[in-house]
Amino acid sequence: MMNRRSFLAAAGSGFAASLVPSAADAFERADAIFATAYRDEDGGYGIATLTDAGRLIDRYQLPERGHDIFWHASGEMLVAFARRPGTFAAVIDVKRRKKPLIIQAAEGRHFYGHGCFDPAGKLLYATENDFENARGVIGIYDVTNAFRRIGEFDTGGIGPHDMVPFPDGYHALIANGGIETHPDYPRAKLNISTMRPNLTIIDLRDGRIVALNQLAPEMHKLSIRHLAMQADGTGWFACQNQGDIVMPQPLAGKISPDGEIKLMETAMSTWASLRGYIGAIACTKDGSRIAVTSPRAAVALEIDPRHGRVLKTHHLEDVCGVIARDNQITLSSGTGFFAGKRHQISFDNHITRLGI
Amino acid sequence: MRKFVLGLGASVLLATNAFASEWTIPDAVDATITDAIIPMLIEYEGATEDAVNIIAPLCEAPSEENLAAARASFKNAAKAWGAAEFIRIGPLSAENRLERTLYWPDRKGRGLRQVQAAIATEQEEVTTSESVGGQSVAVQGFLALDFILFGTDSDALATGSPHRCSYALAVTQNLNSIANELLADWTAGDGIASLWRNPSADNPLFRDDTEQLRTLVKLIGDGAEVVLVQRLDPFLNTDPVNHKRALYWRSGATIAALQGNVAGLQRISDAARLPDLIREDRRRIVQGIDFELLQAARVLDGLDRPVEEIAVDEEALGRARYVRIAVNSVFNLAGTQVPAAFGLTAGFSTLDGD
Repeated sequence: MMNRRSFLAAAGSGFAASLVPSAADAFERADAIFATAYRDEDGGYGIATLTDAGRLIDRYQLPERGHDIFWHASGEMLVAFARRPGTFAAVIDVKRRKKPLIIQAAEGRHFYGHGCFDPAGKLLYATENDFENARGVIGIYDVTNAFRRIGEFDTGGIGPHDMVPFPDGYHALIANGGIETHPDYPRAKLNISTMRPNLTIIDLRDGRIVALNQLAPEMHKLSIRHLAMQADGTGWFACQNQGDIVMPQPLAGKISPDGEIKLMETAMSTWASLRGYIGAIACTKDGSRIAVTSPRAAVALEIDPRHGRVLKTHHLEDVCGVIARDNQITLSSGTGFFAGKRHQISFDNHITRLGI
Repeated sequence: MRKFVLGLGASVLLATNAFASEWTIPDAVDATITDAIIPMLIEYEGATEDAVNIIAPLCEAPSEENLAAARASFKNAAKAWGAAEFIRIGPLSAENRLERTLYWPDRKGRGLRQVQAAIATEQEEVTTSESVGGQSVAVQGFLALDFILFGTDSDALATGSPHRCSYALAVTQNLNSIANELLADWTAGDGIASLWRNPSADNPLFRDDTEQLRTLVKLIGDGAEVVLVQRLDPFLNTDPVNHKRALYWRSGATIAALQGNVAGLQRISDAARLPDLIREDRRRIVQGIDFELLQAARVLDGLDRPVEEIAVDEEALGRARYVRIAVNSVFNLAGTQVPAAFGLTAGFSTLDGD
């Protein structure tokens, strides 16, 4: 995995040189580099890079609100996806040698805000909505040809949100949230009564759906939205309850590499404390610690999934971003906290780590 | 002066009124439930019961007069629902009650086609309250009733159209049944009202008065968003204006429903007395909600015409666009500015998550 030193080697000393002295110093001292979308105090949007100690390294403007962000394997560029139902993705040169490249969503498609690169860094995949046909697709973009869209795969469901690659790099886990939306009615949910989310495993080489799994029918209003991946290929998923949250339901679970789903076992009061909503999920490499955030409950939980025991509870207003590094959990919030440090910007829902 | 609120180890600074003897968050929640939510649900239940009692004679003795009365009862019930439909926490989000009452937006007319098919093939399953309640959500609520009473060939109800009339009655009884369930749940001793009134560490929805207040403000913000993006924008944002993208364009109840929407939001806002909750230097921001709702209500009062006519009348369209501006202001206020003024955070992720 790329760390700060290998990033420096890849991106070149020009990156540090491009920073203001205080940021260059923060960068030099960091053990890990993160990126996240933000809104600034003037209502503008952008991407921020920060250290594991919560120190701001740099900021890049975006035309509209971003959602998830991905580092290219070279460490030289970041891709930020617009928040659903967004129609752009921005490719940012972290050394600012080039102007940001804006990828417009294809006709009849919009982005859902998540995606990933292939292991060689030659292709970019994005979760998208074929909204006229209420069909989820993975848009495929050629990194080597100015991110030209060269095709798409069916995701096997409606409303794909997060996608994460398996460790082999050739398969991806897709969270089809199940909720139909259309730009004619922005952010209106058109099929709550009949929604049926699922998790699919897709072979990214040919688009073949290797596995498709659903939760029990009585749990059909649990929209599966966010994902995390262990080193051994065990995936973790997190849900948002679109039904009556007075009756709590399990909101997270795992999926084995061969597609078997198991809900996380923990006390119902733990699920209730999340107010039916997980905004992001992270897991340590070995899966011994799962972290989930609920901005609606202003709480983040670190859970040992083997026993369902809550190891740590963080109370933080508008907390959502979460990422795991070794056994460390880093959180961010809409109130400006990142790794415990307060900034004058609102951090968006997700954090990505350089090299992940 | 600020009030310090503690809950499960969390501390949140709320910019509420300093004088505890004055209006408090629990007072606001209690008044919202007692003086707004439950009365609106009673009125809605009554409107659906009236519709049942008016449509039943139409089926027994078809006539122009009875059809006109049935159509008027639809409009009344749709307006009453417009006021009550924003009470989406708790019972309305359970058992598909929201979608069963109003399936909207109906993109590409998928729901409408099911209703038309039910009528064309004289489906037996839609002719009793019990059986229609088990059908697709699209065929059992207001959207279905709008077509049954006002759609193609609906004038035959005045001379006798037994299946269609039975379908209308079944839908109306189904709506009344759901309305009764909502009312029962909101008035139950251990239901959603009790949860909202009594925050505690083991309460599944409300840990403290911060969560009580957040839900109250969100009720108004989410309601304004529904009016904006699901009711006004779909037809006002088309060029030329396409009245067929408005809810209830067939029945001409579009504006009546909007009047209900705005009246419902006003009722919640009036009962909650949010300006009395906040410290004085921030009161003006919160008062903006009442001001904008009042403007919207006044303009809608002079606009009660079929949306088909409004679509081709520039002056009327201008008024409708003014309503949109006012509702958009309510959305921005209740969604962002008022939560921030109360110290609830602007809710970057909380109020508009993904």
